[in-house]
Amino acid sequence: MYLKVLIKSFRMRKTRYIMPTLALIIGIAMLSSLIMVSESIEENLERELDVLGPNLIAIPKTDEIQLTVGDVDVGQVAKTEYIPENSAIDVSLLEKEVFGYNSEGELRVCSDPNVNALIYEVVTVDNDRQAVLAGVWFEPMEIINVWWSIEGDYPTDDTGVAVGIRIAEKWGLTVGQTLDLSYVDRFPTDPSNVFNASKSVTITGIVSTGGEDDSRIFGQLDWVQTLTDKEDKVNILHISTLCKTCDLHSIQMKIEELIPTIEVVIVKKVVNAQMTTLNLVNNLVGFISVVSIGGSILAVTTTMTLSVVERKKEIGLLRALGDDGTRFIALLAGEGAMIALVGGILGFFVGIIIAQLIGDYAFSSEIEVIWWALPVGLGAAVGTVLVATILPIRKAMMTDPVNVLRGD
Amino acid sequence: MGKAVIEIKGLKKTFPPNTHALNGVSLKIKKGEWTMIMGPSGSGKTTLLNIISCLDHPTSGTVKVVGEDVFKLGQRKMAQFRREHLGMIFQQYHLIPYLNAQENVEIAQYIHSVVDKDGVVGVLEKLGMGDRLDHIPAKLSGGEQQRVAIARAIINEPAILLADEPTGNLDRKTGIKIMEILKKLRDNGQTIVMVTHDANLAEWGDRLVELEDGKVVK
Ligand SMILES: Nc1ncnc2c1ncn2[C@@H]1O[C@H](COP(=O)(O)OP(=O)(O)OP(=O)(O)O)[C@@H](O)[C@H]1O
Ligand SMILES: [Mg+2]
Repeated sequence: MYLKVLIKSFRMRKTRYIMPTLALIIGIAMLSSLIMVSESIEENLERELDVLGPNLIAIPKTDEIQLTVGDVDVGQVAKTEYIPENSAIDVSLLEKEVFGYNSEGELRVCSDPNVNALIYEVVTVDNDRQAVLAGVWFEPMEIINVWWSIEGDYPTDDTGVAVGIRIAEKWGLTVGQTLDLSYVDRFPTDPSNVFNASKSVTITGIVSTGGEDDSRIFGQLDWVQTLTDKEDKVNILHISTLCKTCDLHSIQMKIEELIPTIEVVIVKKVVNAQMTTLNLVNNLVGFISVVSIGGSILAVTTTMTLSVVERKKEIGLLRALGDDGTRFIALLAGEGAMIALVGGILGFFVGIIIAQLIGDYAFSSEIEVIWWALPVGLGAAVGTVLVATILPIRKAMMTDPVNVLRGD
Repeated sequence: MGKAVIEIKGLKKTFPPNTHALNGVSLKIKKGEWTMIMGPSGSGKTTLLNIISCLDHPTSGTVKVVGEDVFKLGQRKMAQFRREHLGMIFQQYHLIPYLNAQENVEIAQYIHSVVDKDGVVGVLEKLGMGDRLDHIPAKLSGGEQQRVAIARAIINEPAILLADEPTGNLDRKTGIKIMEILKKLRDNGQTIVMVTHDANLAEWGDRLVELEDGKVVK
């Protein structure tokens, strides 16, 4: 009987409920699109942090103190500056004290850092072609550059190299082929004693990186250092740590403080820009959802109050039939529940669409459907309607049956 | 017949600022009796009926209905008392516009927390409304609407049926039909208290109470 009365009265007044339900749908749509956009964009950003390689790069420190030591020529020093391999190892061993805490000293959840030490030198290949040979730590390199793909394998000892796809195609190189690498020091300190060395290696894999590295040859750091007479020297460190709450600046300062010979540079400008956009969108959409939920509270209150006024004879009659007020309130609550249900569910689905639009427009990326936004949206809808029905219910309770049943 | 189902003593009702709608009414109404209340407009008839039906509170005096001192009851108890012992019909019928005839009767059962569809259909059939069960009030004539209202009032078998000018909006012929229904109910032992303007209709009752200026004059 309750349901019958509820549905019939709702049906009779259905046009009245269009506005408040629409208002609620908009409010909930904003809220759930907010949840979906921030959840999936944040997740995307994390994935991008992961995929885009290092967040930090360490290079040799080139500040003036070091440059003015003794009588050494400034330009000369800058050119031959290297990071000692020991420092690279030191950085790779930094864990908790740098990556585990933020600047306030609170524990944060960061992955252990992955550190790749690299040296680049130009070598001659098979006597007539030149290429950049990179000495690397393969294990961290694979982790840092997860999107790289390799046909074959990365070398596991000092006899192998991985060749970038671009030179492989240009020179017609294939896995298993042998290359003769030779190195000559082009900037010798003593022109009468020029270092040169050569080595024969086998191609173990062809690597596609989608960038400059496609034109490089990769070998283990150790033998590349030996071949190029750069024992214990490294050009650059790629440092990658994965988390969203990490404060890269404090990590940067901490590393520089612990290892004074290097300078740390934060990369990931793109991601930072996206973070800013995300915050902007979050604030904007958050503002709109607060405003539209506020609006729907008003709209629902108005409609419900109107409903109470229109139905005061009905309220009086139910009283006369022996209702102590609770039956009518149950009807009102039921109508509120229907608004909340429709507003919550439709709002969620409209939210999916809005989220896609925002994703397209602001991030040019697809937004995942976050299903837990549905119960959250429903909860918010119920809360909104609850707040909105307080006044109408009070009004209904104060209706005097004698007055409303008298005369016409 | 015999024992009093309504006992009113020294009943006064004053509306602010100083309308003395009832000014010392004492009255006993016996079980099974059809009491007619007459009086000029503004004499307090509706006010008296509203107080008997516990919809309105007296300024002073006591009202006992089926032995219960009703105004000593709390809000909730009073509502419960109303749904258990009282049935009401009004000049304007007061049917719920979006419910059909049957549902308008069922709603009284629903509030009483007893649902018996066959009972509802049976009562409506007895009142000649068997072929109008699924008509909404707007599709019923005044007389038919009042019959639905009567069905709603008696469906829970109240001790007392209170009627405030139940034929007031009906033409004479239709009014007579309603009176015949009430008479049949009375013949089956229903206690009825009815307010009317019409001296002819007042004849139908067992007893006539005349009000003037908030006092019983006869
Ligand atoms: N809520 C109220 N506030 C103020 N005065 C009221 C109220 N209800 C009734 N009255 C006054 O009390 C007096 C009695 O009213 P009541 O409705 O009982 O008369 P009645 O005998 O039923 O009249 P009628 O035959 O016109 O229906 C009238 O003077 C009326 O104006
Ligand atoms: Mg009256």
